[in-house]
This record gives sequence, C-alpha cells and structure tokens, in this order.
Amino acid sequence: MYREKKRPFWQNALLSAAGIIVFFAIWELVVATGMVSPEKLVAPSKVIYAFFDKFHNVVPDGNTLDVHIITSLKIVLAGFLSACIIGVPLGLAMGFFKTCNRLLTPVFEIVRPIPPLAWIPIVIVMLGIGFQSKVFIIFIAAFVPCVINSYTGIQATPKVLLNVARTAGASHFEMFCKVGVPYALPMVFTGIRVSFGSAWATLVAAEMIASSEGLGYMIQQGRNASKPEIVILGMLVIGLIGAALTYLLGILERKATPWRKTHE
Amino acid sequence: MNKSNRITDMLLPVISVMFVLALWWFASSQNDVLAGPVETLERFIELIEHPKMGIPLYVHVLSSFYRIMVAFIFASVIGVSLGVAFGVLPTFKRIMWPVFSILRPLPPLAWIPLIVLWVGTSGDASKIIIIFIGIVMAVIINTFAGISHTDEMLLDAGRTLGASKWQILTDITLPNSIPVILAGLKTGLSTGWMSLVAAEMMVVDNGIGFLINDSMQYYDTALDFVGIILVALSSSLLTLLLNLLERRLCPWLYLQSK
Repeated sequence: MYREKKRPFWQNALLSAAGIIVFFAIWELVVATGMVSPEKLVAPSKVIYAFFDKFHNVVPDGNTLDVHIITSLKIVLAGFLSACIIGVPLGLAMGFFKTCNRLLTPVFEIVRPIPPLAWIPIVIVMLGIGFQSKVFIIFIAAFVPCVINSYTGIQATPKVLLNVARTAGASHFEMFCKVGVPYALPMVFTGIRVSFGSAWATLVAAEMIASSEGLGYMIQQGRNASKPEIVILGMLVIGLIGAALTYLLGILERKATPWRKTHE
Repeated sequence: MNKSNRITDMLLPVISVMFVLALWWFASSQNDVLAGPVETLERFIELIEHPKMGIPLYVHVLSSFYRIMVAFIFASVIGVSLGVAFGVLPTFKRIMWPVFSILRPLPPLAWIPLIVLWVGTSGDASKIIIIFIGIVMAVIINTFAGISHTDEMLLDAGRTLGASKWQILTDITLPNSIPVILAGLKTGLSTGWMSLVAAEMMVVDNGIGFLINDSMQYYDTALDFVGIILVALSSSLLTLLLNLLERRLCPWLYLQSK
C-alpha cells in the first residue's frame, strides 16, 4: 500500500542487516555487562560455539547435533507427508461432494479443536512410545490445515466454470478432477505450507513422548542440565530448518501453480 | 431440494457422529487402559461430585480461560500494533522484519525451557507468556498481510479526496483488513490452546492442561478425554464469539454471500 520510497538496493540491504546486527549486539551486550545472569541467557557467541561443538560433543543428551536433526526430520516428514496424502484428497472431497461434506464435516469439526498435545496420553496407550506415536502427533497437527485449505479452496470454485463444464457434457466426477481440483490447487499448496509449519512446531511436543534423540529432546535435556546454550541452540536450529523448508515449499508452490499471481 | 433429500441431509451428520462414537467404544473395548465414551461420562460426573485436589471442575476451566484471555488480549493489542507498523512504516519493516523472521518460526513450545529459566515456573506469568507467543505471531502476520493487500483503488480514492495518511489508515486500511486480522486471531487462538496445554504442564494445580497432564501420569485416559472435550468446547466457544464479533464488525461480508 503506502508506496515505499525508491531507495537503492544497497540501502535496503544495509537497513535489514543493521536490524539483525543490532539485535545480536544488544543480546551480546546484555549478557557481557552482566545485566542478565549467565544462567538465564547466554551470549550469541557462546551459542555459535555450542553449534560447532555439538557436532562432536555428546554432553548433555548423549548424541551429536546431526543425529538429533536427522531423527527430528524423519518424524516430522513421516507425519507431514501422511497428513498431506490423507488430508488433501479428504478436504477436496468434502468441499466438492455434498454427501462427503455432510458425512465427514461433523467428525472433522469434533477432532479439529483438540490440541495435538492432548492426544499424547491416548496415543501412548494405543500405539506405545515408539516412532509411530510421535509420527501420529505430528500427523494430527499437520492434518487440520491440509483439510481446511483444500476444503475452502475447492468450495470457492466459481459456479460459471462448473456450469460451462456441465454444458460441455462433463460428468460430476470429471468436473471435480478437471475444474474443481485445478481451481483449488493454489489454496491446497498454501494449506500444505501451513501444515508443514504446524507439523514442525509440534515437534517439541511429539518428542515429549519417551525420546532419546531429536531436537525437542535435546532442548528438554539442555533445560534439565541447566545449559541455556543448548536450549537456545536447539531453538535456533528448529527455527532455521523450519524457515528453510518452508521457503523451499514456497518455491515448489510457485513452480506448480505458475498461473497464480505472485503477491509476496 | 425435495423432502427425502432434506431428511438424508439431516441424517448423515448424525450417522457419522454415531459411527465415531461406535468406533471409540470398539477401540476401548479392545484395550484395557483406553476409556470409552461411557467411562468418560462417568469420570466427568465423578469429577463434579469429587473434585480433583479439592478444586471444582469449573475452577479448572475458568483458570484456563483466565490465562488464555489475558494472553489473547495482550497478543491482539501488541500483534495488531506491530502488524500495522510493519505495514505502514517501510523503514521500520526493513529494520525489524529480518529479526522477526528469525523469531517467527520458533515453535511456542520450544520457548518453554527458556521462559522457565527467565520467570520461573510458579505463578501465571510463565504460562501467559507462552500462550502469548503462541497467539501473537499469527496476529502480526495476518495484520501485516491485511494492511499491505489493501485495494489500490480505495487508497487512490481516499488520496484524491484529500485524506491524510492517518485518515487513510483509520478509515480505509484498518476497516478493510478486519476480516484478515480476525482470521489471524482465530488461527492464533487454536495455537494458543495448544500452548496452554503445554504451559499447564509446568507446576500448576489447576487448569484444563493440568487435568490432561495429570491423566498422562496415571494413564487415566478417561480424565484425558474429559480434558480433551473441555478444551474442544472452550475453544469452539471462543471461535464462535470471534465469528459473532466478525458479523458485527464487518456486516458487508455476510451481505455478499447471501
């Protein structure tokens, strides 16, 4: 909206860099001057040191950083992919076929507001404390946005397009495949991106179930051992990987739906 | 639509809910620990008659409501102001957006250990901060998106009529972005409830999250289901209130769809 004044590129880049640098400088200073006790917050330089150190140092959680990252990625990807595979077709069907809508929406509305964390006791009883139960918690978190976005996307298909297809002799199922689904695709992708975000955000919750590795577990152990640098390192690694993968999904989204207006 | 159709329309949701209940009942009959619908109902009545820790059930619900409402109010005020600032002050956005982008993807649950180190576990402050973090990110993002996607034509019309920057903000952009902001509040609330359950796992002796966490320690799945149903109902209630608010604040949305 408020048209931005034309500034040379380097000036914009400088402003952005300044923001980050000032943020870290204040953080470093607050710790260095002793305003905050080192037990509560550690300087960014110490976190960076912990980052490199963690690749071969197994204290306090018994594993190196790369093992934690791979374990967490496996759990999140398994939960996220199964949520997409089940959630997207389900949402599309619920949005397009009236019978599906009437049949499934009430069930979905019951399950939707339950926080993923509240599933933990039930999941432990049903699936045990292994890989499966963690994947299920992630699945629950990722499932909801997949369904909602696919549902809203296909419901917004303009009547005109549907009528054209019907006039041209398309069956109801053909209309679903050739008009509804392509129309909903941009929304579906947004849903996939959102659901990846909530899958990744639930990682810490899922790893509360008896774990011995994973980034969420690493944070818990860092806290138990009162090592704030491990806690902050864990947070930053989770944040960075989450941001990077969301960015990749964004690129995929633009490649898959090139007709969509770029609004970012 | 003929009459038989209308009857199936009413029956289908009933059938599907019954089916879920039957499935739940079946699963619980196969598993000794898992409570079924009947046990859950019994547990609920028992909780009302013999309160846990001497705290009546409604106090648990109210204390959770209190925590989430305080966090929600702070998150909406701060979130909307920051979102507007990002939208209308390009320089502010240039400087702060990268910092925000670092903080945004951090899951609210990952903050818990750090918040505990900072403010301790006792009292409501730590819980409210965690719920606040859960809600505020969605509010900032949506407010910013709403503000920056305002129809250029409306802005030009405002400028042509001589509106000041402040007037454009209060009379055009803000009202125009209310639906998007409300959507952000709704998304935020559901993250908020999840953070609440996590936050109430810390030292507390009341709240719905406390009930759920307690059920986890004693494998009391009936209590967990009671907690789940309470969270689901409370969260639906708040979403309903926001929907009513939306109807009041932006009636034009409902005029078009009718």
